[in-house]
Amino acid sequence: MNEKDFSRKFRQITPEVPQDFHQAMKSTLSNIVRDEHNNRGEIKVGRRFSGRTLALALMIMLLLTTVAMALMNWTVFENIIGAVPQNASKIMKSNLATVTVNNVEITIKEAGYDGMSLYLQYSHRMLDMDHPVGEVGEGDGKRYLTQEDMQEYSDYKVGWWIDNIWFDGKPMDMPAGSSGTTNGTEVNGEIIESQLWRLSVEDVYLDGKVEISLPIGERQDRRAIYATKNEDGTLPLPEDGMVTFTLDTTLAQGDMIKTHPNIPTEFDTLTATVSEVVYTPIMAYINVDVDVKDEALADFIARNGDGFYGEEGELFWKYGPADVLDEWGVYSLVMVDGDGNLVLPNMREEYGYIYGGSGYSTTSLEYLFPYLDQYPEEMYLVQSHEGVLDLDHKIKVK
Amino acid sequence: MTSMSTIEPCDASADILHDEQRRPFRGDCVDAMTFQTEAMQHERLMYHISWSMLGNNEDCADAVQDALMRTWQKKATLKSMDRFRPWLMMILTNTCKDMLRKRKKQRFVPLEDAMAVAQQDTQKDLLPLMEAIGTLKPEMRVVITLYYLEGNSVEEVAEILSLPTGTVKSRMSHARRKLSILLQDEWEGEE
Repeated sequence: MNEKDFSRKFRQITPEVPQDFHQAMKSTLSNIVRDEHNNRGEIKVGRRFSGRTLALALMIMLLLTTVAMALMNWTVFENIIGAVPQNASKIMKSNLATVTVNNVEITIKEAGYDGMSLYLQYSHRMLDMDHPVGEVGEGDGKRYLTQEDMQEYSDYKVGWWIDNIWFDGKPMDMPAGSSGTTNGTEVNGEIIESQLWRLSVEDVYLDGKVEISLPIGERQDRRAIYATKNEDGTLPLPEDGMVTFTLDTTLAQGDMIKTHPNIPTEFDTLTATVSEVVYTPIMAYINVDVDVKDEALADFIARNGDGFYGEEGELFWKYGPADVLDEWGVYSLVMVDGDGNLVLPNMREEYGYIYGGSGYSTTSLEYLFPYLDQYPEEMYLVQSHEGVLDLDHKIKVK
Repeated sequence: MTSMSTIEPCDASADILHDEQRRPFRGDCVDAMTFQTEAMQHERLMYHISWSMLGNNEDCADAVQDALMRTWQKKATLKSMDRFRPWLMMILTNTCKDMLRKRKKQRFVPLEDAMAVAQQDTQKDLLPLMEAIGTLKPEMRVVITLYYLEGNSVEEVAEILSLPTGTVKSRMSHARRKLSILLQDEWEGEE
């Protein structure tokens, strides 16, 4: 065997970057970006669910944030968004299923679908535990899980054990932009998971009564499950270890409205067009298509060189539209009305920290805005740099 | 001890990244968007490092999440973003080591995912190689992964893993010797 042979063979046996690894990176980085954008010190991690409790415990200690101690209606929103949207009761259902496994009571506490995203909260309550789970954090009064808590929890052999959720038997991995939090409550032995599943990101839309299966029962042998993969590489619905409930995802007529303004606005470096606005009872999802101009990229390269180089001259990456977009400011847009006034001047303080820019690619940006009873007659997205609005370049929303 | 007088304010980190002088920018000046872009450049490298050390995809994903968070939280300690790659990889390898330490009962980590791939897709004649690599200690696997798979030089491997070049060379030599024995195949051209 020579060096070349070995390198070639080694490449052949080495797997390419798998989807769940890519997803783990993407969701962690997206949440870092979003969190910084929201000017909060705490970071929510888009969880890639696994049964590795020790790793999870470490992750939770490092990353997971809030827990609402004082339970109130639709705490899933408290935990995920930071506030309860006014229409939450329109879509949310409570106490959808309860089972007891290994002396742990598992309850689907809250679930709802707004036409784009699934909001979900479930609990595991260790029935023989005589104390609350987690340690109360200094200052915020919230219960944070410790490694010991997670180990104790793990000993019951229940909890999220494989990286999928099933809708009517069809599997799905957690989409980018999703998030989750884990916390203890004041109830003895209770752990609550709150999750936001951004289904529309993966072009998954629910309709009518949907059977949702969560791998949160007794932990199963994942290797055995993986061995039963379908021909397309997806996982069939496992027979054991699941908790299934039915959610009526039907929205009232007129509760979800889609518009396509499609009026391009020219900036020096790019063209921006709101291609779709989806108004749901919970929030408005706005998609902005962006087309970076060739001359802008050429100018960027003329100013900065053809790529980013390390100190030893190694090329880290070649500059492309993403760099022009970064310079332009992907999260710089705010909503104004026809008179150029901010529609939501204190948006995050009043409505929750999830709102604003929520993700981007080299060709589009996504923004989330809270539900309003009455949106202004005219609405535009404009750039805001240090509080100064660029009203010369208004991107039509409505 | 840090001299406060040498620290400039972080105004407009994007400009610090792209300015005409191309002066190095500090970790604490880096915004999340730049961090995201930087980190994504190294996705493949991060996967292969974690895979070579941990041997299964689930742990790799856990490790990368943890490492990215640690890196972001400790960014203020990075004096120059030109050192981003070795710094990120150092944190990742430490994270993987932490995870390995927790697996007290396992001395060696089987390459579960590689096995699965091999059984499904790979020619049968590669199975012995895979099994042989699977018997190497994680610290050797990561060295040969960086060298043979990622095409780094010994010096680059040393930099990425924060090891002396001599240690990298000795681990590579040890790994080659062990593979030769296991595969009953003489290694040509070993220094």
